[in-house]
Amino acid sequence: METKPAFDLNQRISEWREHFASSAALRPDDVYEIELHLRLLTAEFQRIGLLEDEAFMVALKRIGSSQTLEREFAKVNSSAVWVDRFLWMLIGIQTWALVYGLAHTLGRSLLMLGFRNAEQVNISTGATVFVAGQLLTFAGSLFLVGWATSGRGNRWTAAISQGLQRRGAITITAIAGLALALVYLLNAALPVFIWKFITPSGMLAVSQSQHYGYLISGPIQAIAMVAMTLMVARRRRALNAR
Amino acid sequence: MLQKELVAASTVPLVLSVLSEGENYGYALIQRVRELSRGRIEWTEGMLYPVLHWMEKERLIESEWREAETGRKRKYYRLRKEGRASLQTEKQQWMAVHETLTALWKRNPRLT
Repeated sequence: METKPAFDLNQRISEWREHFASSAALRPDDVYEIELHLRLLTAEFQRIGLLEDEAFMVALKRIGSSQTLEREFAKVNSSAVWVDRFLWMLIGIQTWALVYGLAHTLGRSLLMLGFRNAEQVNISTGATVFVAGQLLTFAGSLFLVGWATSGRGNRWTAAISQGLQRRGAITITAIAGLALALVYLLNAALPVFIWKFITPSGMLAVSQSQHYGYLISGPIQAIAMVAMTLMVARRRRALNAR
Repeated sequence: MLQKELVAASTVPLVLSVLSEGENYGYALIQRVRELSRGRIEWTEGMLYPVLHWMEKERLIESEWREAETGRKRKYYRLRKEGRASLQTEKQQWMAVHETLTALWKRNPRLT
């Protein structure tokens, strides 16, 4: 006879709890209340003769799917859900500003260093370097969005939203704000510093290659944004269909 | 088995009525409804909780976490004054439907 792997009720219940870990619709207390119900149901079905794993399966069915539960709770706690959405929007905007600002500063500094003697480097090389930096940023963002929505990022998003609910939230946001301020400062200060080593014609070449670069990276940025939106929308539809 | 729409419409009056017998927690509340309806009213049990939370938000009921005899904590729900008043209104409305239907079915016994 085949032996089944041992059934661990607590393990299965903590897996069930995972579904709600990053949900704003259910507070930890709400999940705990339903967990108690789930345990009582499992015990009841065991009493009438089912094995523990069978009892748990039937109990889960009685409770209903986590998606429906989350949807119904979201209707009741809509304000909590919206606050959560705004929070993630702000986190997204800040992350984008940070990454984009950093890439921009780096690209420009590279150009300035490269164009110290404008005669040696032509504008198309400069533009290529600049566009390459921007493309890397877009690709990175796409990857991040894909990762976060695939469900593999669940643990991280749960950790972030839990971290922001604690008292230390001010420290976290302060650090993020400081990093952002630093990037903006860098953006302004680095060119001023490098300026000394660059000829006027070199400066013109930097400016030109940057603007030629925008001609290419601008539309690509728009495409990347659309791609991200489509990716998230598709993921959302798949989740709702389940 | 009741139709989905009827289950949804009757959840709030059922909860109010069970709680009018005294405070209770979610699991026992469902047991009580199943027992009284002789199994004819079947809820997707998890869905009771968003309803309870909505009723609490509407100040019809209030809740409290307390330790049960088993040692585990439980969330008990209890009727508020507003809930009692709302139950009266619900009762009048459901009785109106019930009385009208019974009167009609009495005149036309083939329907019953």
